[in-house]
Amino acid sequence: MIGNTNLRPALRGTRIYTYLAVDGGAGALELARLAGQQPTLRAVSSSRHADALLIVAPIAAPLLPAIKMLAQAMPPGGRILIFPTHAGQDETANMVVNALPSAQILSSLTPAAIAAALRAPVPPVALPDAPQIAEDLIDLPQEHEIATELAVLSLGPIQPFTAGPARFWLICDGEQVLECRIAVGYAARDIAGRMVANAWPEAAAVAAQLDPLAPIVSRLAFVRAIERLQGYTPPETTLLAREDALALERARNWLWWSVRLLRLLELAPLARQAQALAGALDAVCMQGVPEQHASLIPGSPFPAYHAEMQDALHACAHVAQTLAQRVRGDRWLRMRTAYIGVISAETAQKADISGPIFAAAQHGQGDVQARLLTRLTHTAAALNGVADRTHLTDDATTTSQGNWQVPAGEAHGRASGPRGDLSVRVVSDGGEHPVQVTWERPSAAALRLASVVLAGQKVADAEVILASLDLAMAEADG
Amino acid sequence: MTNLAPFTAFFPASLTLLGLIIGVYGVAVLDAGFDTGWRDWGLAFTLPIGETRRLLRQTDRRPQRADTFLYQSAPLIAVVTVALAALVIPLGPGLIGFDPSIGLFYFIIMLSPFVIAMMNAGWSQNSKVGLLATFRAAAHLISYEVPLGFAAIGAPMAAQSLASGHIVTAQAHLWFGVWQPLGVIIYLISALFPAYRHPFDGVWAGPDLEGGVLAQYAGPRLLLFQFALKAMFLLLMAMGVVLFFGGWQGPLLPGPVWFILKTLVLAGIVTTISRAFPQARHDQMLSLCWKILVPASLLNIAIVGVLALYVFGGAS
Repeated sequence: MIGNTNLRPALRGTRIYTYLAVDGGAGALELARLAGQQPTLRAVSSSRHADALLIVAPIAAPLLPAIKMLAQAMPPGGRILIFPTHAGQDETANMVVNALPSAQILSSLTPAAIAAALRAPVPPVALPDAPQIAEDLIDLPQEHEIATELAVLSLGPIQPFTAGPARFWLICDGEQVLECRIAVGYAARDIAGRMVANAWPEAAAVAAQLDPLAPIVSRLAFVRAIERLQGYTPPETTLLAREDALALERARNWLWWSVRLLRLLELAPLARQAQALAGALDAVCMQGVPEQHASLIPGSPFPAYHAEMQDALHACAHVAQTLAQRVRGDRWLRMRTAYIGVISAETAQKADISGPIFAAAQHGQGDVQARLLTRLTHTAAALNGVADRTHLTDDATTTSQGNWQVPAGEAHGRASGPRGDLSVRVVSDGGEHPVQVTWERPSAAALRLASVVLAGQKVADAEVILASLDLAMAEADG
Repeated sequence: MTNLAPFTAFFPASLTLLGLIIGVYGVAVLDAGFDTGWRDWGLAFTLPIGETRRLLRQTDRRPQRADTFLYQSAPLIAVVTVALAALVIPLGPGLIGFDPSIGLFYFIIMLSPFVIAMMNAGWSQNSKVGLLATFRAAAHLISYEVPLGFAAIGAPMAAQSLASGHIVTAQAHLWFGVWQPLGVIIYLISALFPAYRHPFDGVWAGPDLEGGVLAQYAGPRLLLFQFALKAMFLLLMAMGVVLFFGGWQGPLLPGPVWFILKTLVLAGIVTTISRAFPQARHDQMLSLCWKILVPASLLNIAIVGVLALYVFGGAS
């Protein structure tokens, strides 16, 4: 019955650790992967029950008070672990370490690394006093004629419904949400300001940090704006490679988002299937796809795809299509997700919504189920598209041309990302760095719509609707 | 003359409690197996032990301005309730802690304090999340009791007795579940409500209320609640076996072994099927109860009444 599992070491080694994930904006995919990997490492929804606070950078200064409060609420002996994602995020990790001296920096976001960090002896350090946060005074709407007391449910800023921190106040009459108020800025890093302060190559690297979950799309939008200013059209191979990179990035985001939504709905079988597919796609991307960023850097070489990727991508696309069919045919899932959070095509268009939300509104009911189905079917289409194009590139390395000499002028660049079309307006004076950079972010547009969509919904539906919008707060806050 | 009644009752009561603890471990293994997708069978057996160790070591803190008496007593009430309800479950012939003539009625009545304990837990926390969860728990109380009772009444109608032992012996020739399939389905669905099992676990699970009635509990108190929740599910499955699947009766193996096997198989089937559904929304749960289960259970009573009188001729 036990199979080939050796029970004795399992009994000795079964120590369950729990953690509360704090996603600064770059951790949604990693945390979704982590949550299903190891049964002895569990995510909890309250720091009271957590052995560790797992913080994924970048962490903006406005989020620090909330992190301190969570740290204070942890049981004695609780650890604070920070994962800096990549080199550019070290400054935010240091900020957290300075504020919370007992924090440890993780080298990787794997169950083994986390368990090792939790087992390592660390001298106890007194946590700073919890910050005095002024009570948010909310003016409640006037009570109805029938006297009912309205309740204000505060969600966040650390909550699992968005990729990154944001705070939502649901003003409820019982289970009915009357109004939703949103506070953002917890992931603000002034990306546009930092781009203006840097030279063009460094500004492109900063652009990739706008949405840490989709660095290619933001970087590509900026590069396209530069190429427009230069009047330069890249060769066909470069354009194809960029489309493939974008498609794979979208597919990865959509699949891990599906995992998060299905877990939120507590549909374990579907969530496991989605996670297996997302993991398989990650493995394919890591093995076969070359440096995707390389295709975006003027003047740098990039090798072509390997032929073996084609079959693997087709297989992933087939599984994605199967998953979409299962979702479509699941009557109980439809009961839970259909006709809630409806966004019509007209509303989406007026709100400058693009991407899967708009597609779901245009071709479907515009509800939560439609948004889930749209992302899954688009994932299959994207993977098939990449697989069908891999044979067009041969094995020789290809160099992308272009340079960083940017003439004076103003241009727009646009790229289609997992959350919609991301566009940037770049103004140059012919110098070494941009003069002005303005982003139009799809998550910011969706966030403006969120308060409208949530009004009139039930509390249990409000969270599902928020999650279905796939809000990336690092991108929304900019 | 010395009254030996308390002492003679002590042994079966202790046996019942011991059986409950072992049964709860079985349910925990089942849950752990489903959580891991049955990838590692050994892990399914060791995870509950690890979870117990973790909770025993965890610090239990009380929220500020919580209602101390309700907050501290809620988990105890929950555990005592399931322990008292377990007394009327017959493990085998003569193996029952307490055998009143109204055994089934006693069992259903004992479910109510458990829900009260959950409501107290949410109310005493002095938080909005707990308060909303308390209202949901109250809805559970109001909703499940009617269909559960009406579905369960079919077996006493056929056995012409409310005593659990007599209901089992009345199924010597044919299980009641064979000719009361509607009652079985209604009972098993309704049983998920008082046990707060998925997909009707909105009171304490899921991210929308961050733990709901159990949000502020940690450490040994949370362990008591988790024990009580699993025990409640186990007892409802065990009573289902008593009512519909012949109890301890079966060939070759001893009675208690059959009873335990049937209970675990029924628990496994119910858990497997329930995991395929998303978590039900609060109003969907109420609609299911009042619009489907209650009318269906009334229909079940009519059908069972006719069948019991004219086809199966009452109790054997």
